[in-house]
Amino acid sequence: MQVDEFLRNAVLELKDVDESKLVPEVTIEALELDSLDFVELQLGIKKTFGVNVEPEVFLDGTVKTFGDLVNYIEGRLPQPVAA
Amino acid sequence: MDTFAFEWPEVAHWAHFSGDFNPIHFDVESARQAGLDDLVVHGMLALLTVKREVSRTLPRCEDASRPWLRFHALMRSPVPHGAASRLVLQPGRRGALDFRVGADRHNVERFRGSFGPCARPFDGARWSDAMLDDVRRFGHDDLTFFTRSYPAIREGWIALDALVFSDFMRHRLDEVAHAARARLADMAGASADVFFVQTSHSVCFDPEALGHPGALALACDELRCAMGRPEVLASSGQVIGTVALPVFHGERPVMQVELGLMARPRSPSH
Repeated sequence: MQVDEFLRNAVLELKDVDESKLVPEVTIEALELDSLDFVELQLGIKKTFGVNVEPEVFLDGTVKTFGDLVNYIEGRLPQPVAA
Repeated sequence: MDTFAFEWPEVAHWAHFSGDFNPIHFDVESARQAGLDDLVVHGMLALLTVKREVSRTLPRCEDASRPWLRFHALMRSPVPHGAASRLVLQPGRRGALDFRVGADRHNVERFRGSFGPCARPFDGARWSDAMLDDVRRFGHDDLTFFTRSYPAIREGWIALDALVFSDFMRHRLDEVAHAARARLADMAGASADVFFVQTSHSVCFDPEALGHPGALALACDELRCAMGRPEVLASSGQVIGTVALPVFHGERPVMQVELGLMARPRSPSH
């Protein structure tokens, strides 16, 4: 599953948001995710993609938008081992 | 039925069935040490009502690419003893039924989730023989206890889900708790007394195998439940994770339960 699709489905499970508003520019703050939401996202991302998203990335400005989060995860996907 | 509540006898009865004697359900001081205002109802007890209602409301869907059904619930806030909760159902995405459970008279969300078609979650390579060595079996006595305790629930998948959860609480939780304590001790630098909170509950199941009321009774003798290696993260002073519990009828996978758990150090008594 693509990262964008996974995150879109995950956020729609967590919050009653209009799917059309889940664009790369929407801020994480605008999604109004609470601590339990972040726990669920963190677990789902780790389980699905093997990427650990620490809460600090949301606090220190590394990840500000939905698009930032997609890029953050994609940039840390485990690389396939060469044969 | 759109409101429901649970009083002390029902809470005690669920604890007796499930093996979940977490003191936050029985001891006010323990509940307050866990950051709660008062005694709370087991999330799994409250979800029995939700599961029954969504199961009876979901329209039939024929989709060969999504032949299983998935119930997924996020446990957002605790349900106090005796407090009324209101269940709202609404159409969701891709043929699913969304549900929201809130406090009857306050804007507090207690559960949210969905019930609908899904693809089979099983990847044959994932469940190695090693994991399946440690399997649990269910007996007719276990099933009879449940069906007599909750005669209003006729759906086989709900009963089996309850049996799986009960078995986990009685026979597998200690293993998970040990791992969580070790991770917390690594963070806190000391041995930590921990309490657990369930954060989510997912059940994927084969409705052909478990959909009709008599199916579970027929299958009981050949049901096996394994436990996958918990996915655990240490984050912000707590340990979070999921545990997958696949269920097989003979060699055929029929259900997968997934528990979301959070472990925190218990606050010291004052």
